[in-house]
Amino acid sequence: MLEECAERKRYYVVNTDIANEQLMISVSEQLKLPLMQVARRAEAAELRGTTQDFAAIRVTAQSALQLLDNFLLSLRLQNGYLQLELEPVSVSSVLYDAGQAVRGLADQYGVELQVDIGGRYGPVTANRMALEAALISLASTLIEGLPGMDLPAPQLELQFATHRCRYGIVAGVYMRHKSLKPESLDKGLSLHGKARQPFNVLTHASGAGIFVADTIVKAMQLQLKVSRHNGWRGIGVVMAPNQQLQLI
Amino acid sequence: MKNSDVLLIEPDAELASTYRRALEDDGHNVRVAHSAQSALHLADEHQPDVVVLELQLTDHSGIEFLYEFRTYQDWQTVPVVVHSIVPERVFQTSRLVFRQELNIHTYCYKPTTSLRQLRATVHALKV
Amino acid sequence: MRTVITQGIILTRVDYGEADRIVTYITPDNGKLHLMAKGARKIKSRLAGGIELFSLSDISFAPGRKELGTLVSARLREHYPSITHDIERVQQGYALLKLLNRLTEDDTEEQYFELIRTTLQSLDVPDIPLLLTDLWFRARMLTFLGHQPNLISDAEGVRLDAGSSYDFDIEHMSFRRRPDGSDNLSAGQIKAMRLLFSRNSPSQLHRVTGLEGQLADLEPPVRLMSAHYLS
Repeated sequence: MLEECAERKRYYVVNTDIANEQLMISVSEQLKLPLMQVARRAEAAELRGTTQDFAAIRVTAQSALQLLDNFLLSLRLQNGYLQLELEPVSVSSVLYDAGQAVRGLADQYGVELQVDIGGRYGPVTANRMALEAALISLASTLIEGLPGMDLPAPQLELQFATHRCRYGIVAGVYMRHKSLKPESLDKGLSLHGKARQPFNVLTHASGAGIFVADTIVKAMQLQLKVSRHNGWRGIGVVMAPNQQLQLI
Repeated sequence: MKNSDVLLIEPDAELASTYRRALEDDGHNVRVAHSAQSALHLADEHQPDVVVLELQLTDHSGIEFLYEFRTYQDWQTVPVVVHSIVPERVFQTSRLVFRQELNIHTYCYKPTTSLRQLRATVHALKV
Repeated sequence: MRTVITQGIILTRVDYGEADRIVTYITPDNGKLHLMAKGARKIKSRLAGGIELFSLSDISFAPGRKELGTLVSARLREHYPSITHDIERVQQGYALLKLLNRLTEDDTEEQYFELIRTTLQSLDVPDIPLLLTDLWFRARMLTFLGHQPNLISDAEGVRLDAGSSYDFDIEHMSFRRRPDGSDNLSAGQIKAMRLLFSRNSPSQLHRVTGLEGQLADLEPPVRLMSAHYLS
């Protein structure tokens, strides 16, 4: 009995170590991108003797800090250093705040950001801070990836949206482009640590934001899913409606 | 010296903007493609003098682009500067094939290649 | 117009004239086919669509008078999408396709078709190390071309012994008994090489405990053989 427990614990520790390493590799690769952007913009400003690049440097550095923060959150959750309290959460409020958090990045990439909170849905059971972090991570990945799909300008749009499905209430990030299939998400997640570009249909980078989001939502016993919203496709989180009447 | 027509294949819109401006400041005409597919379209519309290529693209990679690019006679001798976030040591098992068969002029590791160095590399091609 | 139906894996594509492409397929029953794909060059953008690399297609073609036939249709049968998720695998895939093309004649046997099909299937599995697939491919090519090393007895004809260490003699394609040294191959490594040169596929070899740990040691002799006989 004791041996079995020890074996299980060792299995858990080894698997957590592997998961940590995979996440760190993915995030480290991803961080090269904003750091290169900052370095080259700073050099360009130096060469030209202008200040026009400083705003872009600020936005990029902020986005990188956000990724690091969300990565650290996911790491703490993965290793059991942090427990999330689940509470009634207003989805529309989270979508709005997440949208605001990535607006600067979207402007920088020429992506039009929309927040569709038209439906009147009650609160869901989640952790507000974690849900927002997951949505920001997803959105940042898609914002950076969209121009790389070489879509015509009207399709450079991303929408934070929520809708009801038979499993509960979905909050997610959606795009017009039809490249995202349900199997793309599952395949990408399964390639974590095994391929340089697990989500190569969505992004030219390592897709770290999706893995970070996945780790965070799993800590809430939830899952990322490919879903549709008004003909758009995206990645969302399905949550159970909260029965309490009070919102936090 | 004639200004070169540069086809810049860079998936990141933010980096593409910075690199394009830097090369234009040097007097080159720069066309930007974010994907392998659109890069082929652009090359078809305007014959490039030089290609600056990121290998890690969305969907089809720069490797696939390069193999396809080199199958066309009019593009077989266009100098290609690989300017990638992927370090060259990744291709060590097939490195000779990679460099020679694909006729790669220079391989620049993007994180450690400054704008000055990129400009100097393109300038040195003296098309 | 008589048409023939078969399966094929693309080895190369080159342009031809204003609008056409010549595609070289390897097939199980028709060797290597050089087929004109008419109009395939109208848009210089065939990275996606029916004529796609790293895939097995059902093809129908009209045989030509000489070596060049005409591709009538191509339909995707098996695609290996995971290869394109990893740049290293993509490059390796291309390199092995080119190597196979270079080393085979047009009337090549079915074993070469099966070799490249198995290779692409293995490259498509992220868990199978790239080095394993690469060394296995080279080992199979060496075997098909009659350059398999002697894995039973040493250069003196003495049966290979579990207690001895050897180094590899490229001239005689066999092992020579040597005093212990860090560059020598042990009995365990020779056993691993026997597995590599066996008929087992990479996915079967992947399940052999301890084999992958030996790959780094097997690489130098296999690359040496490859440089001598596959270039």
